[in-house]
Amino acid sequence: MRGAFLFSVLIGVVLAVSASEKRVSDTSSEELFISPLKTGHVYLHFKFASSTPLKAHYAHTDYLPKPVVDILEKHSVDELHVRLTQGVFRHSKWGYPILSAPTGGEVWAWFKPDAEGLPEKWKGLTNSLSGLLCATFSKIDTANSLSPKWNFRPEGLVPGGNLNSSLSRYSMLPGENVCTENLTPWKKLLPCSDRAGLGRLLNSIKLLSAHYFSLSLDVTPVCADVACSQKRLAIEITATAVVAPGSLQDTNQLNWSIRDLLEMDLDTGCPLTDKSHILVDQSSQGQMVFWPSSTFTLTHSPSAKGRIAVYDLKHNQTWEKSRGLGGKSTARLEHGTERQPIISAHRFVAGYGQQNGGIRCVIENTHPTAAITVSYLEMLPWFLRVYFHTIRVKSLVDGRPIPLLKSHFGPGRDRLAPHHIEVIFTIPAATTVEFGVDFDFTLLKWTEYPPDAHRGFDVPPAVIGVKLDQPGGQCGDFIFPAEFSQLGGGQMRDTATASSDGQKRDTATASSDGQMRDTATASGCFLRLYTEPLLVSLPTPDFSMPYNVICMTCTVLALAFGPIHALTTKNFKLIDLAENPPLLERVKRKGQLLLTKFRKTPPAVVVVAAEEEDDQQPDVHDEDVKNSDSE
Amino acid sequence: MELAVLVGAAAAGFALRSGLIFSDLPKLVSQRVEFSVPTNSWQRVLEGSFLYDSGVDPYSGDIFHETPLCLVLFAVLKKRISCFGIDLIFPVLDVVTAFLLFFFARNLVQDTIVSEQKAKEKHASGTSKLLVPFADIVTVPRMVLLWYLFNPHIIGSCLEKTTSVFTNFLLAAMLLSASQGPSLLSRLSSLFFLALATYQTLYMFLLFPALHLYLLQNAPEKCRSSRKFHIARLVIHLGIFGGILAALVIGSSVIMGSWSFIRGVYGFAVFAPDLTPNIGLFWYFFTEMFEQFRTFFTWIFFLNICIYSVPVSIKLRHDPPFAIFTLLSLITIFKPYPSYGDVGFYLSLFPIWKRLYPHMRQSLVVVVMLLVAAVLFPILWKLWIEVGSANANFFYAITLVFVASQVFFVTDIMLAHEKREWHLMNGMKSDVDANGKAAELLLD
Repeated sequence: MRGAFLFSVLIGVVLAVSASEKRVSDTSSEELFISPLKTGHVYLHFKFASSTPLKAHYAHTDYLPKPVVDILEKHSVDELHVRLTQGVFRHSKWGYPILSAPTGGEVWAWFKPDAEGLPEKWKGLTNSLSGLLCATFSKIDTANSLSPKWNFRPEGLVPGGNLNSSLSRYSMLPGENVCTENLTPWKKLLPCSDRAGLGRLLNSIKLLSAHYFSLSLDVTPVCADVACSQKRLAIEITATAVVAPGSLQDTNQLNWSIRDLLEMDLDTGCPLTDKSHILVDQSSQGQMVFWPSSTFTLTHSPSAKGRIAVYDLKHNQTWEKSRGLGGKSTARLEHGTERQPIISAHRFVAGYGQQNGGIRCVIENTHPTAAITVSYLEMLPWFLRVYFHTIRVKSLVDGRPIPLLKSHFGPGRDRLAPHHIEVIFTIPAATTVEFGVDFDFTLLKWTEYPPDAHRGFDVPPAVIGVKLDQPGGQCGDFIFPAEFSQLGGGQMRDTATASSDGQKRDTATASSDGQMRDTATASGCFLRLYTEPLLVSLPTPDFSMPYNVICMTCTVLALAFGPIHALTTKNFKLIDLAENPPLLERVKRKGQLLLTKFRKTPPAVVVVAAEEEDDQQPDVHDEDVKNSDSE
Repeated sequence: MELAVLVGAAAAGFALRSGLIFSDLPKLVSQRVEFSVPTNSWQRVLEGSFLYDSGVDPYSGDIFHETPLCLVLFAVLKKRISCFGIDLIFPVLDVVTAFLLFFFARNLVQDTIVSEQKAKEKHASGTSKLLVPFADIVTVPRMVLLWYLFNPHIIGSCLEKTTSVFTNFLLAAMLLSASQGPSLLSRLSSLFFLALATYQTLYMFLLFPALHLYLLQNAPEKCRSSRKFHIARLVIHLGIFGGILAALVIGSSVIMGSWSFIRGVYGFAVFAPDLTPNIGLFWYFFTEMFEQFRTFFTWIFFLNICIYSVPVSIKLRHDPPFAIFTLLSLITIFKPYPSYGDVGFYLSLFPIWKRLYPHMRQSLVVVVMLLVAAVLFPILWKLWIEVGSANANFFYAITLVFVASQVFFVTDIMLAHEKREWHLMNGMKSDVDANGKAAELLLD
């Protein structure tokens, strides 16, 4: 008893000592960025970032999710990006999100240059992810994945230095439905899961009923500092939601609070993280009052419009029990006012009927003076017979064709490869252009149609990559001051804010790690847009017909084969009609015979005649039998 | 007078085609399912040429199924002449084909009359009215010419700019050179055109046995009884045909730098993986096929096309041109991607055998079925694909009617041919036998 007590004390001391040791290897942070939108929605962006020194093999990780690290290691992946999204982000109303994502699922990976058997590795990776996130990534095969040429370049370090696009694989699943079953395993990847810190706020019911909801998992090798003295593996797990507060309809005023939006109360940060911040976009200060007051506020210098309040959950941020964190607009919402994003795109299916159609993507450049060069990627499923020669980009302002600066075409193969279109062209200032391509529909095998065949087939969104000449290297509508990325010092990526994220990463790494990057330079930012996914309806066969079709078609074959077989193997001969009566005659006689047999006993007078007939008929019948036997 | 008629007809045919090709009509009826199929669609030629120019192997996709030579030819044409010129090639080639068929018909009718007159004493008495009349030398070629020039199937095919126009040209050239007589040049050129046609459309190799017999037919009488001569000729013909075909295929692989076109052109013709609806039998059958039987039926259908070649050639060995005609129609009926262009070609040859018409029993049925199909194809297509009020079964039903009508036509004309032969040898009476008993003429 006494021994046991001593032992447990000893254990406790050891634990206490080891816990007090400062862990330097892994870092972890959590952030929530909140921005009330002019449309009466609230934009929420959760980011959980952690990193560890880059190693060839990870026996142990402190904060990084071990399953993810294991998957990377097993399938020789350098860089991995996964998105699961429900809904479409309305750029014209909500601006650009911090992290763009296509509707449905998206995976793209950059493999190590020494990875052997890339197709199997890719298959293995998607299957593992499928298990990890309970999504149908297992549906990804060669028929819906490709190696993008220009649109998806590595976003982090490239340890091998090999930038050949054949090392990358990209796939979209436009029909993927995102649900609680994806959110639950995703939450388990967080350092504190959903037990403490910002993870607690991830209320499935509220988030999944949002207007837009997106989950992401990004793994990139990065530099720890500008000199790149240490390379690290960074994992970012984010959730984005555009939520409408319930009270909007009643007052026509935006009145939001965390408790109202997520039905959860704020707490202290996750104890395992180094930083735990909530950032609130207070740019709309004039029209909205916010509570509580923040520890400190950042102001974006160039426009002086951007104002972000920072709440540090690690440093005794206290919340009013009754109100929590929130804001209330002082003026009525002005509906219909739209943001004017510099570049926006919408895509449509053209044509009618189910023989041929086309895809039209209208891209608008609203910048008054600057021409913008965009890189456009279409991954069209193989069951559309895409005619690459019909690809054209024309200005909708004056109808003139826009020349393609670069183009890459990968023709699709039935059941094996999608059609891959990647073109780069420049949109003149204040111009709308239209990208168009035509295709024919095909008829699939009857077993290849889904049970709801008449619903149609999903076509993945188009991807538009743009390098904008924005100062500070940030494309998003939520502009963060440059100094904010140094906030708290240490590692660039970890502090990196919610906002600059995908865009910032490009510029940051380009300048810091010295690796060449096609898409971004220090003065610009890289923005990725996804258009709407499309639904096309293919002609369908009648699913109840297989037996009938096989029988009838084979009958027609037999109609030809029979006579031709007879013609080629037999000769014309005169056949004696008496000896070989024609078929019709024989049938007639048999019929008469049967009739007489079944006829009711006639009146006595006729009996004699009937008997006579009976006497005769058997003879005829015998003769018939003989004839048919002899044949 | 004769010349004026011919030139007038040619001018009218050409004017009609070129007038329509530059009108809005082709745009209105573009990519009609009856005319354009994956193996002959102009849209796909443009696509292949575009990919080739962009440095992508056109056969790496599943759209282009023309041969590499066709690709190169088109690339050269595109460089040398304008779009306008390329559009004009089709009407010009159609008119040329019509004249090739005209001369073929004249040669053939002449030959037939000569051989029938020679064999007159072997014929039964009272059968002279069955013989081909001398007037046919003038009328039949003219009918062939006119029917080819003004056949809606052929005109539509030309307006859609299908590559069937090229195939038809090659076949007509083959027929004409085979009918030219026993000279080496004619044999060589006909085998060359057959090799080209086979290279273009795989199934044309099935015409080889019949063509071989046709080329033998013109050989000197005394040689024909020698066995050695037959074997030697077969080896020579096979060698020439195979050699030219091999040269074409190997040349193509050199041009393309890979063998991928074999899968794209010939693999496609055999396995018919594209299930886009057409007027043939394959598409719906393989759409509705149970997966485990797919391979089995793919081979059955392939065998079904091939199986007729040898027996029909042997049976019709005394009339090889007719065997070629029969085989052409059977290939058209049973190949995976038939089009009106192919149907129109063999139907245009029919006037040559108009002597068989009185012996045909189902001509009314066939004509009515063909007309019904021609009217209902566009209607049911529109109802299924555009309006959505019908379903695939409607269109399938009409393809069955169309195929059945062609089957009736072929079997009927073959029967008619055999019957005529019988009558020539055995006299006109077929209702009583030699003993005067009631009898019937039957296959036995």
